[in-house]
Amino acid sequence: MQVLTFAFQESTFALPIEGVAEVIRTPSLTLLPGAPPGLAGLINLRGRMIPVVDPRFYLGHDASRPLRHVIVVMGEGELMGLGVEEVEGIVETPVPKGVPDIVEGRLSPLIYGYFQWGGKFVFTWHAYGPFLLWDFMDSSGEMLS
Amino acid sequence: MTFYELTWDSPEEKELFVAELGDLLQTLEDSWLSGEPDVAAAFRAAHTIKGSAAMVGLDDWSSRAHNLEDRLDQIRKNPDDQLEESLRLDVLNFVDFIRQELNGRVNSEANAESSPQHWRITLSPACALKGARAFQILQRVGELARIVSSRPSGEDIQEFERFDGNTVDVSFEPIGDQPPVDWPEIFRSIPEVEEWEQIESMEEDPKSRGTTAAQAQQRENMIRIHPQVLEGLLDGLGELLMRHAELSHRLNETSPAVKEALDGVKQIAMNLQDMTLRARMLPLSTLFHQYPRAVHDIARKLSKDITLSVEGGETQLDRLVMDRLHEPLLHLIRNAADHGIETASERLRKGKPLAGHIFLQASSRKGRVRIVVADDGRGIDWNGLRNKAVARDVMTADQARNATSESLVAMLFLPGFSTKDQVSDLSGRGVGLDVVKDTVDQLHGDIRVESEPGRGTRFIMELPMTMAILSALLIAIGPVVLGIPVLNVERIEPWHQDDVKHTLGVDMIDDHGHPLKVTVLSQLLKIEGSDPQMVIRVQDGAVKMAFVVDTVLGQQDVVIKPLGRVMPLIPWMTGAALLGDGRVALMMDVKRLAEKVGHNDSTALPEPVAAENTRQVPGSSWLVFGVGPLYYGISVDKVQEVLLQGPVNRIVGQHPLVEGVTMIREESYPVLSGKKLMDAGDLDDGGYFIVVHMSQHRFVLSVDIVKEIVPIAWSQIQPVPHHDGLEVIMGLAEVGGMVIQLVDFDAVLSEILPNESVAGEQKDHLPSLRGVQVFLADDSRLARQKLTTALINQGAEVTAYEEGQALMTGLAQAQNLPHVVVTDVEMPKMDGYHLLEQVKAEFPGISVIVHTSLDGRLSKEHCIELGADFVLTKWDVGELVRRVGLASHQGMDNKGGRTHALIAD
Repeated sequence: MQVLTFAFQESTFALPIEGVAEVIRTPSLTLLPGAPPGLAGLINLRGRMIPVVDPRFYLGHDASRPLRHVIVVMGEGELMGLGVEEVEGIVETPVPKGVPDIVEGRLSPLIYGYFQWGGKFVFTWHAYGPFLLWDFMDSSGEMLS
Repeated sequence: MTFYELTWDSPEEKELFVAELGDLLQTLEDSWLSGEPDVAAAFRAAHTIKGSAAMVGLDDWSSRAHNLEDRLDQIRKNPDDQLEESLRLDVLNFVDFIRQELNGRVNSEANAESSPQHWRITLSPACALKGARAFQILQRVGELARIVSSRPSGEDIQEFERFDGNTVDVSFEPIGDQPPVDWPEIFRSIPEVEEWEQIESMEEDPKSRGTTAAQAQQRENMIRIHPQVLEGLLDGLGELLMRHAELSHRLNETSPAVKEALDGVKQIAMNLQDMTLRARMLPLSTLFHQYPRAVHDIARKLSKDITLSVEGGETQLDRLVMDRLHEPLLHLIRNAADHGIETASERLRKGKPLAGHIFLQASSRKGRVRIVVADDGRGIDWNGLRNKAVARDVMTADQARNATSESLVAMLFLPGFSTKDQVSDLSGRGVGLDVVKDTVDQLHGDIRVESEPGRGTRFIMELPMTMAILSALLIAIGPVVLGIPVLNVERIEPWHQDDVKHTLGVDMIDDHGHPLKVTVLSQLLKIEGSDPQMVIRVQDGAVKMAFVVDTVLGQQDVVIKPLGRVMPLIPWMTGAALLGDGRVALMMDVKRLAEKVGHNDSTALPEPVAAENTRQVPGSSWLVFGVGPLYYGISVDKVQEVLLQGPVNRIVGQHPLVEGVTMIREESYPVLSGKKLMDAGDLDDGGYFIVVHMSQHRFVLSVDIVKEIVPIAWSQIQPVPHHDGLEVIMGLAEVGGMVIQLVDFDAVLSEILPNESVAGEQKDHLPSLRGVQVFLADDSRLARQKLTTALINQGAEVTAYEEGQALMTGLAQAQNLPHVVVTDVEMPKMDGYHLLEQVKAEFPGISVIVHTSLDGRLSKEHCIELGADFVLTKWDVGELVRRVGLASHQGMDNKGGRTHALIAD
């Protein structure tokens, strides 16, 4: 399976390549006042306005470092951006299916499986994984209000 | 009726119908020709054909399609049933039948052998607008017969613009069993037609054959585009404009030639954007033509006799907007038929015509489309509504008794609120008025109701012509750019923290004497780096509030894009717009944002002035002050502030009414003595200054006491018989048992205070107004006299009235309507706004000029919104005369030129 690996300071993840439309260096973000944490803002991708999600809030990561890249992912006819600190590269590797116990129950729907690479465990998301982040935002939004 | 006999609102409509039908027939056929019939697809196609055939009035086709639909539905629901061979045949026979009927049209058009008549109509050589006349002739013929061919061809409106010949040739056939037409009589009735003759054939002119071939080709070349393709085009153009902005920024310092080339690119991109947006427009007739049938069905179901008249079907509207309007309009029509229009016996008793009438009308002005659904039924039952409000616990009995019609109307739009107790078969299902309102809101539109008991109800919808473009006020808060629909913006002014009154844990500012909640947006939305400087008063329906922002960037037409998943997370946002400089503006929904903060709801405030009439109570707020033993009122719009009396320096040689000059924040203001102005004796006690700002004058009025601000309806104001001397009092009103004299300085001030800007009218630059008729409304005798004299000096005929109602009566009785109406704003009985509105509604051909001394953009914008042709915000007789001159030309053009206007479009 071909996956795109990306990293935050604390962990490395991968996305199946078929869900990735493109990777761009983070352009200037339009902030959305009043947005739930995790909704980083909007980018203008060739005239289309695309929301960018910062997954660190939901992964329990420190969110102070800059999101240097945006991975534009395709869902059913819609695009969204996944903000990441680093994009590492494309890897061709078998990915055994299965969610290990150490993944929090809340996050387990995101994860398809994992593999070892460069001495690290790389948790691989489902192609639709980034879109599940919206559900987190819905429920956290309710909590805030 | 057969397809061949149908009349169409426009050639586009016919094209659309035929094209759509072609696709559906293809689907139907394909669904059955493949090995495994796709019953669901066939069912849908048959269903759609049934609907669209009924819409255009092809009952025969519709019932055949209906039949087929029923049988397919059976199969669809019971997939285990055996498919009968006979059904397959029926489907294909149906397809063949419709195709034959369609081809029948083509054939009969091609061999127009039946017995067309050919006529040649000659126009007067002096005719100035030959194209317009040709258009009129063809239109007239088209009403009475079916035009086979003509020269000019009439297919393309631009052809009329270019047309400059003296003769119009037309071949036509009589429609069905119409009685024979007296053609010479018809042609004689058209102005500037000189002669007419019946000719052998048009074919002697080879040109006409060419035209027909060209038409056929044009028809071939019509293509249909998926809306998404247009969206893509728009996105691309938006990106192009953005890149352009980036590029011009980088090339800022280069040669003028480069800049010029770049500007050229921008122009092209903007034109393309414009064209793309226009491609989404359709005439409203594509929506309207289905309602006659609907009304017919509803009327039959209700056993009522109801006619529907439709006007303005040519008005253009964005397809996306139109798609969402169908249900709401149908609901309003059903409502009118069911609740509004009485039964025949009730109408008979009331002396109304037996047949009820529903009126559907569309018009457009300045990017907004107005759709009216009116009926001549019983009107809204206010007491019923009050009882209902109490029964539903929406209001207490007390509140209901005092509720204004306005707040009662607002309740009609609440979910689950129906005035008729029995939910009827028709209106009780589908959408309710609350859904109508929601839809209109979502489309950035506005809906209101007017109703007269016993006379009928009007629902008035106003919508932007396209959902994609909105005129927005762009504001900045820290790094964030927000857009507010310009429609919602009431007023913009500098922000002073000192103006805030903090009560009940809420920040408020003064709004014409009422508290208005004010919200600092940077705090509400947690935006950092903000420096609040401006306050914007906004209103959306009943919701009114003030927002504090950093800066106002200006007004711009923006293309709004929805943001899918982001929208439910940020409920006050309706989408985002890309600005020319690459920034993104977030569009704000005032009502939603107000819900977030809580707001003033004007419908909840029982107003002291109640009127049994759904129209907004026409009135204004007045500051009441006392001079001597009497009370006076001055329009709050003119009052800047109220101060304790300060020192006054007397200056020699000023008008006797001027006490002197006072300094307020290092600016000098003349002080007018209230006592001398009101002719009140020389009683001396404590005093206040009222600082008055009018468009041309700023001065201080010294008075004894300042009491309160009260709202007064224009209808409450009684005129005073004018006494000699200065006219200061424009009317009297009784408020709380006290008589208040209302002060109006307009005409007097130019006498008292030196006027800086108007040095003296240069008479030789004024236009001649010979033959121009003017109706004038002004409550000040002095102003009437001055304006009348100035206009008569230029040759105009002037009829003057003391207030709006008198002028309206004058119009109703007039033998010849005037070209121009000139009106003041503040007048007793009927003010200028309402006069303007009524004149524009009843006599749209008359130009209206409003002059007002009210300072501020708002009154001006309000007038323009109501359709004023010109608004003069200062007392300048010369300018007014010039404007009457300009407006009279306009008025005259309007009268003769409906057709002209059509073509120019």
